[in-house]
Amino acid sequence: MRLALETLLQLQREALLQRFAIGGAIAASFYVEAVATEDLDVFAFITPQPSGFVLLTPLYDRIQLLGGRVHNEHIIIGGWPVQILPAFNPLIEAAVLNATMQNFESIQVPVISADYLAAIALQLGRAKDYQRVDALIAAGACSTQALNALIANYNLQDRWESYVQRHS
Amino acid sequence: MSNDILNPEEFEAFVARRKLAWREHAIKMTWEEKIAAIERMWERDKSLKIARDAITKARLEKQQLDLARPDKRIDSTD
Repeated sequence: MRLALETLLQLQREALLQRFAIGGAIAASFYVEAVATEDLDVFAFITPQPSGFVLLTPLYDRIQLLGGRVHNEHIIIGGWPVQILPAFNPLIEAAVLNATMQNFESIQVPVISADYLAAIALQLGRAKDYQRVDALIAAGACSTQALNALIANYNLQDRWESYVQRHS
Repeated sequence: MSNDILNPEEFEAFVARRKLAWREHAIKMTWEEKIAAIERMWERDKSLKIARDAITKARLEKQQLDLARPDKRIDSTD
């Protein structure tokens, strides 16, 4: 894991990634108990090409030079399958911008906050996502006020209702 | 202890206490410890997959051997 995180920080230093944050189950595991996951999800602002297009090829090429290898939709770095996802909607953009720095084996990495993780899980709306929302809330990781604001700002009221129905 | 002297309510309460104790332990783990636990889950899943594949392979081989036996053949007139 450390090698994967160091590689991501290197890509940010080299400006191939403008900004990134750890999301998904690995980010959630910072706040709640660990659950099985196959990969490390990374949300990122990828630096556009001079043409204005966002291309993953230069990023993947550089990762391979740094020792990673491409395997389907993942890049394997230090044994960890990493999935780099461009921040594809306003909620995820805000989650990356508001990520907090956390310590992993003495390196500082940006991790999406518990409130944003819960909001993203509500937006995704699969059974496992509702379980994540529940775990974050049950562990006391979310701020009621902050999550409430995110639900209102990103029109997640219906998803919240679905979650409440499932877990009450 | 035989099953007939197990008190179901005590049993449920014991399991619930153990689950709670595990959850409290799991939440207190450091991030590094949790990531190491996830990596161990991969090892466990890999071992389970190897075991499952071996069972499936053995079952298929047995089926093929059975089909090859004259007394097990569907078209046998015995």
